[in-house]
This record gives sequence, structure tokens and C-alpha cells, in this order.
Amino acid sequence: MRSNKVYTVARREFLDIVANKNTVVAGLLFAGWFSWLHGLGVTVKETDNMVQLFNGSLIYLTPMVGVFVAYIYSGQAFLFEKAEGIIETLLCAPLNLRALWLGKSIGVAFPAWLATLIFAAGFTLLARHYTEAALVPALYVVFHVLVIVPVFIVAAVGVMGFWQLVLGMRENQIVNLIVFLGLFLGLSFSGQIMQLGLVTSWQLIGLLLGVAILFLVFTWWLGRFLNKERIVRSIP
Amino acid sequence: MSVVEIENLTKQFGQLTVLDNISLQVEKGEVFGFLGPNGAGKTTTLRLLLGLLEPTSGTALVFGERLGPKDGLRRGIGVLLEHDALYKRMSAYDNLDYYARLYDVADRRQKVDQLLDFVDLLDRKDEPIARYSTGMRRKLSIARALVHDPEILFMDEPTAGLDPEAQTMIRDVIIELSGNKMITVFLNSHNLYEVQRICTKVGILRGGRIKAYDYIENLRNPGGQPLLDIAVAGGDDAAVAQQLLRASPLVSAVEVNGTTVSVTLSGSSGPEIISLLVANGVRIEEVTRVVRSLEDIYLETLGEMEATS
Repeated sequence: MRSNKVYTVARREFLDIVANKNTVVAGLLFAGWFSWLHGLGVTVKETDNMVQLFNGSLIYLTPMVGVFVAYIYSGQAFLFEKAEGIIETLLCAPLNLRALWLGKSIGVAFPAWLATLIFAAGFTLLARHYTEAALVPALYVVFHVLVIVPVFIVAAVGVMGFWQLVLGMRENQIVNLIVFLGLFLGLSFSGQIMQLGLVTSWQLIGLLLGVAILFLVFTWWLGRFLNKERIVRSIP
Repeated sequence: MSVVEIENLTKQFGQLTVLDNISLQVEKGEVFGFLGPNGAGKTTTLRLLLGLLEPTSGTALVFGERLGPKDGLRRGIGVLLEHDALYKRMSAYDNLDYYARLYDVADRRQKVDQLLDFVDLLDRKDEPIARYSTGMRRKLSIARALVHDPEILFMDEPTAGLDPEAQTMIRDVIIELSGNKMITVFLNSHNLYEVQRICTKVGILRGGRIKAYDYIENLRNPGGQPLLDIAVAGGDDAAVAQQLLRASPLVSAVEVNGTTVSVTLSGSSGPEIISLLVANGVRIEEVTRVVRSLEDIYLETLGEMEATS
């Protein structure tokens, strides 16, 4: 029954995000713009190891793009519902607080992951176009995008949802600004980060999988500090 | 067993005492009006009952238990809080369907259609509710609160911000719910007219304390003794009336103010009193049964408190 509730909440969040043209367009524009920017970036870097740069860029950029798009979408699922008072009514429903939080996180993470897939596809096509090389993501990159990236996104949305639920509106503005700057800088300096010589391999993917799982466990642990009183008292 | 039972409930936020040792009960089928100015503690009381806040001390029980994570209990309560809790991009049907899913309503489609019909929105059920008026949204949010057939409905200022027509419509819905469906209603309001019209019992809260709490009839007629104001033609008539009434066993108190004689009856003996006066030549111009309005009671209660403080 509980998994049904998680699905119900996740489905509604997903449909609501998809129905909001402004949000969808913002996410897609962002994914498209970064595809173009970084696809072009693979070409202009004069390197002997273009394949390594291509795969490394995908490994680094996909979770960043996914989390950034999720950041754009999460405000609607958490902060907006709080500002509108909807969350208070949901807290009165026969629905476990963790189930509500998880459902919302999945509902936000799924469209963000779809946007990430669009980014990865766009990035690949543009890199191939600009380099005129038959670049194809390595199998471990495909695994990363299909398995690890969604875990990262869900965990990140969980953390964002957590602070959006428990903090007041002013505190949220400050935290959101800091996170926005962090993500934006992380994406903006991705070229420099890639030049550090990231060696892409299954070992790296295994390491990232471990980090993603730890991140998820941390997020779930964070849920211990969610409680209704904390949420209700921070409703404006 | 009372449906709502609050006993010695206190809530403090840091040093601030928002509720100070309040107690009240609401029985099944009653419409309870919780009155008080803004900041009196009405919403805090509601949140404590709904298990959204933890009491500092005392108890706030619904169906004899504290509302915590117990799903079964939550299925028995409906809430209509200050906000509509509706999703503007979704249609009326989808909004109700969502809540029906959360409450595990069997045969959702039929139930949702039935409720949309109840609030006269069936013909516009597929429109995004962003196109609805405020009153229509409020009606839809009542349907939302009823989607799982609750036994008790908690409402926080349900008519706030609505035009008079929409307010009447909402009141009629509440009257129908309590009358025909026997739903217990706990209504937070500072609309005295609304409470007087639809509630059977009231509590008046101010500064976190209950200042008055009883059935409306008892509050309007304290001691249960009927009061009459008798306007007579002149001062001589008033003096004769006073003398006759003081001697009558049917009267427990008499007060004369000019040509108005205020009488407290010891039973429901109004006609006998009037016959007595007429038979003794008192010229009566008007007889009024005095009933205090809820507004009088409310203002008196708050006035007493201000005088005390």
C-alpha cells in the first residue's frame, strides 16, 4: 500500500512538472544549451585522447546537468506547495511523511533524468558533428547514465526537498542561491576539471556507484529529522 | 465517547504560550464553532488536533486517540484548512482523483463524479481549476475534504475571502453535511454570523484561553430563564407593572428603565404575565422576547476580559 502511495505522489509530481510549460522549457533549454556548449568543447580541446575526453565529459556532466534541472523542478514540488499551504493538507492524509518525501523526490527526479538523457544524446550528436569522429559512449558510460545518474538525482532531490520542507522561506532563498551558484560554477568550470586528466574506466564507475549509494543512504538518514511540526511551523 | 476531546491542552513556542490549559469536547454530529480574534490560538488548536504539532502538555484526541501516523484514524477525518490545497494546472476531476488515491477510496471514479455533482461542478470537471472562481475552488476543496467519506470535518475559516453569495453557498453545504450526513464539524472562524447560523456549540478563545464554551442556546439565554422587555405607555403603567410583577410567583426579577419593564421569567409563562398586566389596566405597547445574539456574547466575553486585564 505504501509503495502505491509513493507512486501516486510521484506520478502527480511528474505530470504537474510536465504540464508546466515554463518549467519544462527551462529544463530543456538548459540541457540543450549545455549539450551545445560542451559538445563544441570536445572539439576545441586539442587532445590526442578525444574519446577519453568525450566519455569523461559525459560521466562528469550528466549528474551535474541532472541535478541542476532537478533543482529547477524541485521548487514546484516542495517550496511552492509549502508557500501555497498545500503541504499542510497533505500532512493530514494517511500518508507517511517519508513516503510523501520519497514520492515527491522521485516525481521530480524522473523528468530531470529524462532531461539528462536528452542532454547526453544532444551532447553525443553535437560532439560527433563537430569532431567528424564516430564517437560512441563507452558501455560503462551508458551504465553510468542509466543507473548511477538517476540515483544521484534522486538523492540530490531528496536533500533539496528536505531543506525546502524544513527551512523557512528566507532561509530557503539563501540556501537555494548558494546551491545554484555551486552547481553553476561546477558546470561552468567543467572544461578545466576535465583537463585534470580523469581516467574513465569501470573502476571509476564502480567508485561513483558507491558514492551514489552512500549519498542515497545519507539522504534517507536525513529523513530522520523530518517532522510535521518542523514543516508546519515554517509555512509562511 | 466524544469525537473530539481536548483536556488541559497547553502549547508553547519557546517562551510564548499560545494555548493555555484549554479543555473542550465535541460530540458526534455536532457543529462546533471555535471563535476568536486573529492570533487567539484557533489554528494552533486545530493543528494539535490534526497531529501536526506536539502539545507541550495535555491531550488533544480525535476518536479517543492522538492523531499520529496511524493511517486508519486519518481516514476518518477530512480537512479544509485556510488554503484550498488544490493544484491549479490540474482539472477538478484530477484533483479529487489524486486525493481519492491517497485515501485509498474504492471506486474512485464514481465517488469523484458524485462529489462533483454535489458541489455543482460536474459539467466543468475537465477544466484546469486555474479557470475557476475563488468560490468554485472553495466548493471543490470541500469536495476534496469529503472524498473519503470522513466522520469529522475540520475547517479553518472556510468562507474567508469569499463574496457573500459564495459564503452562503458554503454555509448551506456545511448545514447539509451535518444535517443529512451526520458529519461532525469543527469550525474555526471569526465570522460570528456564520457560527450563529450553522453551529450548535461554540467556544470563544482569546489569548490562548477559553473564555466561553457552551451550546449556543445556553449562551444566548443564560440560566435558561426567558427574558421579556415590555414597553408600556407611561410612567404610571410602569410603576403598576413593577408592583404586580414583583408580587407574581411567575417572575424571578423585574427591572424598570423609563417606560420599559424588563422581566426575567421563572418559567415559560409569558402569556400569563401579559394577561395579568392587561387585566390590571396596564397599557402595553410592545412585548419583545430578549435573546442575546452571538455577537453580544462574543463582545461581552472579550469586554470582560479586557476589563479584567
